Amino acid sequence: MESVTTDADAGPVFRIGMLGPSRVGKTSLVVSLLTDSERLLGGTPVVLRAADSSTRARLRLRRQELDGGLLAKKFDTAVMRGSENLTYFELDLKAGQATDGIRFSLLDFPGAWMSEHERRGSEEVRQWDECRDFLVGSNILIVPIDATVLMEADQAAHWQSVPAVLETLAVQEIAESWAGYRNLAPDEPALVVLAPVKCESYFADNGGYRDDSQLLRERVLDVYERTVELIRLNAPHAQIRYCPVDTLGCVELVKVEWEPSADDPGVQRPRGTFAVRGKGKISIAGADDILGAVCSLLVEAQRKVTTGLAAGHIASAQDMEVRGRELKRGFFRHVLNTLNGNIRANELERSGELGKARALRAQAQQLQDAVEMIAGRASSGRSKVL
Amino acid sequence: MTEELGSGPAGEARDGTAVPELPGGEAGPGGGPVRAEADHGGEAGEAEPDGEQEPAGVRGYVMTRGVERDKDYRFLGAAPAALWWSAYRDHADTNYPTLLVEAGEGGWRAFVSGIPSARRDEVSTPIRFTLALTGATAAAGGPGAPVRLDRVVRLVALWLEAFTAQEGRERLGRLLDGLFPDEAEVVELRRRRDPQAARTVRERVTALLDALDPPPESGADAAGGPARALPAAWFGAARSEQGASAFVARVRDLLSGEREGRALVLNLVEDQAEAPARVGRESLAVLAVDGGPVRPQPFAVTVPGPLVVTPPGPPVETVPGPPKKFGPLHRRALLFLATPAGAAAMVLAIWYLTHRHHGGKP
Ligand SMILES: Nc1nc2c(ncn2[C@@H]2O[C@H](COP(=O)(O)OP(=O)(O)OP(=O)(O)O)[C@@H](O)[C@H]2O)c(=O)[nH]1
Ligand SMILES: [Mg+2]
Repeated sequence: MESVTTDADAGPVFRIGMLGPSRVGKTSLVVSLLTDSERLLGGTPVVLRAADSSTRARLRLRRQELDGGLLAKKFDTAVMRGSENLTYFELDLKAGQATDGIRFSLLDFPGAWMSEHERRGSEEVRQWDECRDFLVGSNILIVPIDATVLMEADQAAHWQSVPAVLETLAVQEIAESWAGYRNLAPDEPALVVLAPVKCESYFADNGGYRDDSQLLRERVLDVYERTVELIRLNAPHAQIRYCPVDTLGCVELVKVEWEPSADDPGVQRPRGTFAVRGKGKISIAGADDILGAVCSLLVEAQRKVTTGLAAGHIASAQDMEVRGRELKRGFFRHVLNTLNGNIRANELERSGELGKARALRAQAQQLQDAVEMIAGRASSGRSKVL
Repeated sequence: MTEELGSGPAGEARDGTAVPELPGGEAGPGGGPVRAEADHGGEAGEAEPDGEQEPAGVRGYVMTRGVERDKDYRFLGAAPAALWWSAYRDHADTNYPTLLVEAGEGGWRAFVSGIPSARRDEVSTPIRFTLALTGATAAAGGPGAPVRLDRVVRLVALWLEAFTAQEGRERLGRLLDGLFPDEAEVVELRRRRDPQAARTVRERVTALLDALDPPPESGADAAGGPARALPAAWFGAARSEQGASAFVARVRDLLSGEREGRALVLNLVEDQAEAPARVGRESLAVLAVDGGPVRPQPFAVTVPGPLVVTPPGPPVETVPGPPKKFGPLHRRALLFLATPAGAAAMVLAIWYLTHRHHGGKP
């Protein structure tokens, strides 16, 4: 299992995994991040694109669903369909004109495969294994968390149900394996984003009426405390961020009813109902923080690789220089090597190496500038580095 | 598209029936062998014992989800032996409406996704049905088969109606909701992998087909109609009436055994270049959900591989290189001057080297 796989001609391919149970909001978050990236990355030289036509089409189908759902049915806010199979999104990030694109793959899957009791049959097990391998080997894990489940739990029975509803143990187990794996490659980018979604009713910055953001953060950090601890323990170099997101923005939670599960004795399941606020125009909030963190991590990784490559070329240019001196040492040797072209060839190679190094350094500088520009953008004010 | 069709235990034809191959033989995108399928029970022993003959040539499977969060999409009772549609990964996103029909040497199979249910899940999102059907062609099937195969054609026609703003797909959803009215039963069937559960689901699919009225033989697909005049391989738009009726006619030909090949409605393909390659001389009809020509267009000649276009000129150097090597004329002049000098240098060099070899440092 290689986290940074290499594509024959396209350089390293980074991986981003979405980690969350069924109906939590994985696909919606992917769409928010990837189809609005132009706006989210505005003011930076960073451009994010689908790397192939099927990814472009996949994103378009989901985007249409998100937009169309709200437009067509004013009070139908449950717009994103549940996923029934694995979906890979192949993407290309470019951080400056002269730089090479950064390839990455993002995986989305039907969340219920995370629930062990729900995996039946060799096919589901095989597909889950594929997901799990991808997630554990990812550079970046994004963990969408249904904020309504945490915020609307107000009885002991609700709290007892939270681990089952959010599959917190399965999330924790994968995050721990991820961290262990990341620790084997401490030079590679490593980021975990805890991303509460469906946050519209808990923030006052996006059309909402009250600000319960402090409480939301406390609850998330409380419920995922052990997960964060295990990541820190196993991958001390990994970045951990808290980034709450509204993928719809234009809705308000009307009510949540907890009903006993028909299938899972002792578990109560929350059913939230949202109503459309105002004109029903999607207003994503908080996604720019995630995209910014993801992009600067990948661009920074690319910068390191580029700087490393430049250093390699400088080193070989230096070797050539030493060799050149060697070739010229002593009158006769000098004459002989001039005549048989050795000195010329060596000089040629040396300046070739220097040229490559110069070009790579210029790229590294562009990447560096991009990272600084991403960091310099105004943040939504919602996110926090943990 | 690395999925290997019909490989592994799931792909074994457990009843030992011969595995008919698609024309062309190769497993192209989805072009794996079409077989009379056994169920994919998952765990050994869970599968329905095979060899049971369908009375009317159609064996159906239903995928849907339960209301509760973790009751995700899964086939009820039994899953088909091969998840053959995953070979279309790059051409169709089966989370969204997709229709695939493959037929070859006496067998056919169909995959129909994105049928809306009126049920909603725990977070109020509409639930969908996906159907997988398989059987013998009319030519190869027993008595009764043509009747049900007609209904499969009808099902395809209704499903396609959604693209031309009619409500056919909703109608299919309502019928399926009527056949699976009880959430507890759906959850139960979702969990079960046994012959009884598999049979229950198959009977519901048969009931669904029976509930569909036989398709009218429209002018378009009647023998000698415009659809029949199309070439064996064509590409069109799902939103166009012409494309849709030609497609239905093609499906009829595939199920009857008159043609071998594939009929596909693909939602990740916008133009012909993105469509799956035609395998050998198969019949291939492709409708694009988004885009595609209003009048179906013949498939361009199948080329064995992608055309490789060499970019003109040498690769651009990023920094000005060192001065060019001497040209031929200069080189000759230099050689002329260098010959005597070279001879002298050679002598000196030999002297130098042997001198060094004998231990003396220069
Ligand atoms: N109000 C609100 N609803 C959201 C948000 N994100 C997702 N939803 C809704 O929550 C439901 C589930 O979202 P999905 O993105 O489909 O969830 P998923 O995790 O991909 O679910 P599976 O594919 O079943 O694993 C959908 O009906 C979405 O419209 C959000 O930020 N706010
Ligand atoms: Mg999803």
